[in-house]
Amino acid sequence: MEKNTTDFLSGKNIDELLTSYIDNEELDDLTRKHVEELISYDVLSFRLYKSEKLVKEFFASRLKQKELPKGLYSKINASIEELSGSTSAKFIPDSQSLVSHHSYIEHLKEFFVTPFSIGVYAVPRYTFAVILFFFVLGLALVLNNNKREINTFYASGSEKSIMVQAVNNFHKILTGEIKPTINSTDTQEIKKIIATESNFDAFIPDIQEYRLIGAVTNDFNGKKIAHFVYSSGDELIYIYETVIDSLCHKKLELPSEMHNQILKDKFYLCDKFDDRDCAFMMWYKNNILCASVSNLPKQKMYTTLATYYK
Amino acid sequence: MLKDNNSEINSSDKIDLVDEFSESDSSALEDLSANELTERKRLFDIEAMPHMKLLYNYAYRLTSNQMEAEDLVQDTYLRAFRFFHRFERGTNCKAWMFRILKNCYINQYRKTKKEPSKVDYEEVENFYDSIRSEAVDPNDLEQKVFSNLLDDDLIIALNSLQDDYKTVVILCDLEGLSYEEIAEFLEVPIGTVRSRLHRGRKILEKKLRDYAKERGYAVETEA
Repeated sequence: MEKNTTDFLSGKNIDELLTSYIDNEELDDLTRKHVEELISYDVLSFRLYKSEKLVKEFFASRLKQKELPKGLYSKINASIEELSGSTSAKFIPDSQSLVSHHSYIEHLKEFFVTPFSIGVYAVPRYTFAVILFFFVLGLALVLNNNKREINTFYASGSEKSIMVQAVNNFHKILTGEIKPTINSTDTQEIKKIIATESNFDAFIPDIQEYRLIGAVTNDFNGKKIAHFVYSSGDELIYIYETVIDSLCHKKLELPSEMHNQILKDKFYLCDKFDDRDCAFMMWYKNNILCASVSNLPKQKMYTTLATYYK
Repeated sequence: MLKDNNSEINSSDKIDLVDEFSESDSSALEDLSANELTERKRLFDIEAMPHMKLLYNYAYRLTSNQMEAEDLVQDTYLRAFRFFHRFERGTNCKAWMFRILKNCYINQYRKTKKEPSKVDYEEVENFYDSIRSEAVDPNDLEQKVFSNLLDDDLIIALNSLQDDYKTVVILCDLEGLSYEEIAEFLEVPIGTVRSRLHRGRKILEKKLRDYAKERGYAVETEA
């Protein structure tokens, strides 16, 4: 059989016969049969056949036929109409079989699906709508996160609330509405003055990196309150102090939940005051209730004042 | 007419090729009656319009650019419509359209390039002869070469082929045309189509092996 095949194919261009065999072209049945036989026993011929077949199939599979771009068919039709000199040239839709008109929805759909070229890349137009959607969503999330919640105790607190008083006083200090009347940076001197004016032994911490700029005292519902202000550059720490028995008979108010948390954790800390950008911290120092408000970030405030509640 | 094998395309050949239709043809559109025009449009719709996708794909492979391919197809159809009276009904309209497209492409090419390119068939033949008997293990070819190549590599390899080889590879392997259709389009014998196809694929295989080798995937060849 091999000899017959060799004889039959002798003098023929084997390479090109293999090409015809791969493309199923041009070969009569007898030649095809001999080519198949050749491939089955001749390693070199098999390799040549298989390699060329792989090249053909590889290109065909990787470089697939492209679809006709949307609008090309109708554009060419319209051009032909124009060439014909037709006075009533009609815009013929993309359908290749019928003359039909797309509905508005179909036109809209076609608009968004039509590729938009960016260099060598073509992306559907809806890609931009999707990108815009996620951008707006992200922006909304960021803005929403930036909007602070409001502490419920502050929101529901009355004028007797220590938290409400402390936060409001802090913002009055910032605006200059409240100014220290005891303008001394000497801790001992201030302590002495307060003891004389307020009749309680105030706790005046020596906060590292912050300078005591002054103090003031006042009465509320017959209870003495001392106020201290520290600063370091633009950073301000305000401390509101009153003796614990001010809470008796609700002269001043402290929610029991807050009180319990202070007993449990030694302090109460929060920064949710809506547009009043500040942090609040409360603790007990001996028999004195201390409430501090500052424009420091919550965590920094905690680390700065943590020493003093222990 | 494009000469076959071992010759260069010279300027006079190109003039014959691109001036297939004379602009002074007496059957210009302006001379047609309304009825004749309508009839031409009707027949053109039946005969020529169905080949648009195939022509577009061929134009895209020639130009590698969607916009240019669209323009080329549009020019082709306008020209075909204008000279539709030169098309003999019952013959292969697809081949006729392909020839017009190729002429339009060459015309466009002549406008954009300073010098028309020349095909040195002898150089191609010599190269082919040097690689003709190389055979690789098809498994190696598939696993080491093809699976590691990007589509860009294929396009570069295809575009680097000489036009005549590139045309037959595109028309047969990508467009699925038969040898007979390609022969009719190129106006060459079927044997020539087969020969160019075989050589084009062989050269492509060599180029792809070279790209793979650059990336560290070498395959051994046997002569």
